[in-house]
Amino acid sequence: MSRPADLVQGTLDLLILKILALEALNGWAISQRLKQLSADILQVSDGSLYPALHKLEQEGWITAEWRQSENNRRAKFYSLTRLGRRQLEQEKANWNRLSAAISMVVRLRET
Amino acid sequence: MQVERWVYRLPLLLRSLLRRRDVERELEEELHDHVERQTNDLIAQGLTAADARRVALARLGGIERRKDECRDVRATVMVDHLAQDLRYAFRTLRRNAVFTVVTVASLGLGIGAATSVFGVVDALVLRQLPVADPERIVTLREIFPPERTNDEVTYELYTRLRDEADVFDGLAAMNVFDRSNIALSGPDGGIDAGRARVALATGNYFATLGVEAARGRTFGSDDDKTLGAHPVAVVSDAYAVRRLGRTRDLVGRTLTVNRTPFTIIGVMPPGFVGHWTERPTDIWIPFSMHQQVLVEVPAPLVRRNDAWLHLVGRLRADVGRARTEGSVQAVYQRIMHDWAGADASADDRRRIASQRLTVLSAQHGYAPRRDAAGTPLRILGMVTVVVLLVACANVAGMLLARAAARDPEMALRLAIGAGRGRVAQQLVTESVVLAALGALVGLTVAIWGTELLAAGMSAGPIEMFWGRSSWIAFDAHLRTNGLLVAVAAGLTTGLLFGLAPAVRVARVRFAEALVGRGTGAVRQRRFSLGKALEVGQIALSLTIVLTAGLLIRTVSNLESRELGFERDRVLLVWTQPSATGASPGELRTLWDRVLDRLATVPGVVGVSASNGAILNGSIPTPGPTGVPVRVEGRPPKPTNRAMWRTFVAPRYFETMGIPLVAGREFTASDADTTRRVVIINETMARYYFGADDPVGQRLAFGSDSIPGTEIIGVVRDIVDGTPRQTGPMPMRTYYSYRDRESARRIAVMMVAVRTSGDPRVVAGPVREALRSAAPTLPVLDIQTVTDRLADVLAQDRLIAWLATFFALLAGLLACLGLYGLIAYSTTQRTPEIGLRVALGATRRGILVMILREAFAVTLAGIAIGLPLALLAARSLADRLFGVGATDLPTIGIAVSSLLAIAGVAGFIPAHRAAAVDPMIALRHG
Repeated sequence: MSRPADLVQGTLDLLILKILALEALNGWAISQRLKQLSADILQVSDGSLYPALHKLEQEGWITAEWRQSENNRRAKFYSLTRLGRRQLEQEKANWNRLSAAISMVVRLRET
Repeated sequence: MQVERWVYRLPLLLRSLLRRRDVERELEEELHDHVERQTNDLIAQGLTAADARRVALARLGGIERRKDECRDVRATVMVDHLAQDLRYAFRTLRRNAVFTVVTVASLGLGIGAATSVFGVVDALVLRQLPVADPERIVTLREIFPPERTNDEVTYELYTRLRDEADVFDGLAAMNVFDRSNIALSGPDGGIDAGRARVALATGNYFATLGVEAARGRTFGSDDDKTLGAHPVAVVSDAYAVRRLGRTRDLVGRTLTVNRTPFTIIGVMPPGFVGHWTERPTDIWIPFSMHQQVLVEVPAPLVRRNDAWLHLVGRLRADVGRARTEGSVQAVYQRIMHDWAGADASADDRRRIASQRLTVLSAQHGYAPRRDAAGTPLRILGMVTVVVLLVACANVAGMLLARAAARDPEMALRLAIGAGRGRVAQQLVTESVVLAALGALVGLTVAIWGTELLAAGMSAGPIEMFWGRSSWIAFDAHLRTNGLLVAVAAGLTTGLLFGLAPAVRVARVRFAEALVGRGTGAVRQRRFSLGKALEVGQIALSLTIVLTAGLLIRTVSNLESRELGFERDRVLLVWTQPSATGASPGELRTLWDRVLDRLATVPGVVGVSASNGAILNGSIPTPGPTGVPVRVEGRPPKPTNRAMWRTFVAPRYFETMGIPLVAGREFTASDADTTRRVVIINETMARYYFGADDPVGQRLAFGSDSIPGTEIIGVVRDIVDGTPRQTGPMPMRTYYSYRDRESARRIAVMMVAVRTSGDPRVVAGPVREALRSAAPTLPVLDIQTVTDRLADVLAQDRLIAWLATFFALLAGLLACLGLYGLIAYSTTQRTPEIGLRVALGATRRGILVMILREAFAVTLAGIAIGLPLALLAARSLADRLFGVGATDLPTIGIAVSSLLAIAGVAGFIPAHRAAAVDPMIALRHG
């Protein structure tokens, strides 16, 4: 699988959920937003985005609908469901715990 | 939480299942949209259109690949894979047509055979009477030690049991009779309702069974109070449909039976044929009308020595089995002692004390012949299970061998990225498809197999009183249960034997497989498993082959047994004078009319008749029966043999080709008005007279004080029940059909017609002649002695035939399996063989080496199979005739036929191996 090596397993889901929590977006817009928001540090390959979106949809966390996008093109827009919002809260909490723990370890002074 | 998830998920699932095309189109559109936007973006950054598109596609990593990943997260991924696997499986199976046909055929025949046998067992043993609480329905049987049993009791015994045994919720009595002169009256003038089976039943019969009429009503105790005063009838649904042409508007119409009109008061529900399922009843008439139905019998049948009623009872729900038996036995003993009287001898008392009246479950219907068929069914069941096992072993062996041959293919598939699980799933799918096809074939086989088997099992000689009984043919069709068995057997086989190759995939060292060196641990394992399967297959085949051999020899011994009468030029005509309604006086006239008329048929050289059936299929019961016999002027001699009485017309022995040893036959002048005469058989002559001439001596029966019966002739003993009859011959006495006691006996008539040529040719003219001489006389059958013998041996022949068929099948499967095994191992050993040849091994040496491998497997199978086969043979010892269970010639033939199979199966691969070119073998090895 083409999961980027620099992205901790499962974090892609968190990022997508977070971005969609702000507004409903289509696949292309999500990929652009990921780059922008992380100041190009997180290089999510376009390839892994779509399977991830479809998986989240199957889980019932996001839902999709076909809408007109700008310049009158049809695009598949994803938005967060109630279930997804709950999942986001949970994953955020998990992430905070994990990153706090890791930074604590990293900040230990080497003697 | 879970539920909420499905709110979102279910629509997606349904959509991807039902609107697959839309879902695919949207996926395509979504990914293309992304690529297009990326392309535009890149163009804006200064790339050329072509470059931009290429880079956009590269960043996505290939549209098709992403599509696949998106599909894989769908809930329907299993379904998709299954469809894919099925398509692939069918393609593979079509490519290996021979493999597929052999596998499907062997599975199909195995499953079909097992399902057919199950279908018959289901019809015979597993189906319950269609009445309320059938598990409480019982019949009663008298047992006279050591081995005589009796299911028919007197009216007096019935009434006393009914009134004195308090363990029944009802006890009824009945019997069934074939009647031929029945008509249905109606506005359209009435119709001839042909022959029917009429039950005479006591008024409480239906209440005891717990069954209601579908239309109208049944009869009750109020309809059975006064002799001759209740002309009512209830008909079965099957009879109404078959003979009366309707089930509506029957109630209230008149059915004439033996010239007495009966009013139809009810029609029973479909499927109900009475509790005596072996003789499905058409018409029920109250017991009190028995004189009107049985007109050939002079007195009301309620006397102490008229034992003719079958008992059927409903047990009380609140009484246990043990108390029921005890209570019935106590009442029975009391009645027997009452009858013997206060002055009974000590011997009589002892004899009575040993008698018993047992309670038998009739939950599945009363069917004594069915119970007797237990042994043949057991043999068949055993054989079919073994065949199914052989078929399974064969299929497993072939799947394994094929899996090994497919190692490179599997390795390639794994190498290009298929998961091991996915490949294993594919293999299981293939096996299940094979099994499903096998089950389908099995089902087809089972549909006609069940009917064939039922017909074969129910075949048997017609009986004088009953006609041909149909004890399972009436509803042995494959039912839901049978279908389930077939499907379950098929799928179990598929999964069981599909798993082995699948498990293998997890183990194979594919690097080796890919470079074509088929060595390594897995090959060794498969090899031993394959050998074990083949050894087992041969062991089981030997069991079936030996069984078949013993059964074939049994049938041939039975068919060729000397019976003591003419076989080739005699035609037997079975008629039923009792069904015509002729009075005892009229019966003799009927006999005369029939005999006189048949004598005029061209091609007929002699006609006579008897009231005893030739080859009735039963073995005469041993033990003393009938009245004691004394020779006048000699001291009484006790006998321990059965003695039978038969009434015959003049020239009977000459017609049947039974040699007269001394004296003369009956003539027309031996009538009841003159002195009484008798002809005895050789066994009886020897017993009472030794070397003396019995002709002219007189016999006295019982306490007769009237002048004794004079012996006028002695005839040779005949085997006239079944060729199975062994042991001491019964004593027989023959009387003239005009004897003073013949009146009630000659209601049964077997006409013997001696012909000058082939008896079959005159069968038609004889039937015509009978129709003109006695239009109402039912002709049950006209057959040659050979046909009659075939009827008597029908079950033996069927079982021998089926066992032979299965033996051939098992042999064929074993041959195929062995061939596959040896061919596979020879292919694997090609380099080795090449090396041997290069080092100087002769062709002959190679041939012998490979053949030795085949024989080693076969001999191992025989060594394991022989004890098994002997065990199986011993279990059917009581079915064998003229051949022992350990008959050496038969065992020899069975063993050598398996060795022959080994030779055939081993020769082709051995021959091929011997032809190996060492250069090619070594280079490509």
